[in-house]
Amino acid sequence: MEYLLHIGIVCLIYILFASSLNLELGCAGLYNFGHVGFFAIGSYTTALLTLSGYSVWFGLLAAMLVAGLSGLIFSWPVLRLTGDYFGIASLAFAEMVRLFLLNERWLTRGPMGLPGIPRVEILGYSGNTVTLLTALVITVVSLFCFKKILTSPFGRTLKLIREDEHVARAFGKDVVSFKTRTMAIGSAFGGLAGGLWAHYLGYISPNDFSLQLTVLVLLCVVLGGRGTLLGPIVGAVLVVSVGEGLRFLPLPASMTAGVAHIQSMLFGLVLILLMLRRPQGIIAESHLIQET
Amino acid sequence: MLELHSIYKSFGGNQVLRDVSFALDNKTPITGLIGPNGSGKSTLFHVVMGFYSQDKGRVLFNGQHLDTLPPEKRCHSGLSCTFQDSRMLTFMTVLENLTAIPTPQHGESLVKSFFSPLLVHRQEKEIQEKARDILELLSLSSLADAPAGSLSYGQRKLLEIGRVMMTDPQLVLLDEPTAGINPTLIQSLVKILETLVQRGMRFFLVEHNMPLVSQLCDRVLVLDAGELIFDGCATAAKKDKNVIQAYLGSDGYVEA
Repeated sequence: MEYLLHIGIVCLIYILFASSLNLELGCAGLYNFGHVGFFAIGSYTTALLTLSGYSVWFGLLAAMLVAGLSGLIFSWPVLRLTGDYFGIASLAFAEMVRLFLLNERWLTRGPMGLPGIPRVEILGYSGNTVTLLTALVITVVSLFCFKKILTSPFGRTLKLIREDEHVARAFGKDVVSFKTRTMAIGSAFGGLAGGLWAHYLGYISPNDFSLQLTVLVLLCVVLGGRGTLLGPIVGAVLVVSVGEGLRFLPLPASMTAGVAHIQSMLFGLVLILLMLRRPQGIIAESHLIQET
Repeated sequence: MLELHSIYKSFGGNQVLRDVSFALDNKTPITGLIGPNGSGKSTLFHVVMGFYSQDKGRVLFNGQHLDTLPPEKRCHSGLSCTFQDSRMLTFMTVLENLTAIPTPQHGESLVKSFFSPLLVHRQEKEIQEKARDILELLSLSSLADAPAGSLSYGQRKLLEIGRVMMTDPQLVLLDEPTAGINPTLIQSLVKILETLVQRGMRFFLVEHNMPLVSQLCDRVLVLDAGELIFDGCATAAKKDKNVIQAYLGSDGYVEA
């Protein structure tokens, strides 16, 4: 039962994390390979605050705000870059965050990480069930917000920008402003996912926020279907359940340590096959028609 | 309305526009811009729209200097354009291709989207109505919910005109609107342009189809190797030695 609760919590956090990336990558066409940096900022913000005595709720709110503000500050200079250059800059940002967390020991304890992060507590209860319910409520409310954004004229303009920035500018859209706002919102929700992660695990260290996590969340979005609300949900559930399912492979004892490597190879293979065979993902955008 | 003063533009060592000056007034409904391939027509359009900045010279629209304004700001002054290569938003429906265009929209503010849904809804309804009227005029109503990627090339060209109409511009730069479309659709396009002219819209048209230019344009400008070599009526353009030479060489003949 506890194991199923664990899978449920991880799924919900991944759904939130992947959906926040989907807003940037799927809707606005921003290839943000550094989304894990905002996840890390959210994790450390709430961890440091709650370890200093603030409540978990305040910590989560602060995680959102600080990550959102970081997204805003990051995008200010970087959004003038386009395509590959933006991707590279975002990747560098995530690495800068990780190195900061690793080296600024006075604040983050460096590679030793932060242990003893308080768990979510409601009316004195703080088990996995409470964490699952909290993650469920937060994820559902966040998904409602994403739906509202996607179906609003704001979401429609994001699609316009993703489709053809040149046309968007010719018709008076302030592309940088739209992208900046999208980055801020995506980063804020990414930070919130990171906050939930920290409170669930109770311990975080800089190496938890590596490139591998970026690839995993990218896979959730691409596998599920970019630009759709349902895509990242399907993608996250599949990635988490397949990843966990691999643990039950009847491997010889000498190979059990290699499960993580098998997982990475499998996900890498899936990503390559997807790009070749079904780039739109499992849940395709309803109007996905290739240029004829 | 639109004034260009001594525009120069080069890409590396290639001088694309040299000392191009002219003014378009409100009295001429459609002005044509012709010239051989590579003469600088599309570059001139891009300079006017702000996608390229000129090396020297000034661009004014209704007396306002546009030189320092980015394309998104120029659109608000009443300028609009279509593109030489039909730039469809293929992942959006035909209707969305139009409703996404007006700027600013209340719903583009997230605060208003979440906290003033009625205001957003009211404006959205108006935008949708306007878009449907335009689709009616373009005879594309039945395709409103179809993906834009499924339209034929000619229909895409019409939809581009529709996008322009969503902004109610004063002056529209049309870059080869009839390239690659069949004669029936060209005549539909001509009727649409005439309707829009009656509504007060003015056009600056790049076109290679000379009979069409003669039919539509009261005034024709001719560019050759980045220089303006002719400014006058279409009939005179066809007889002008410089124009004939630019198009077909010294003994050339321009088909009427």
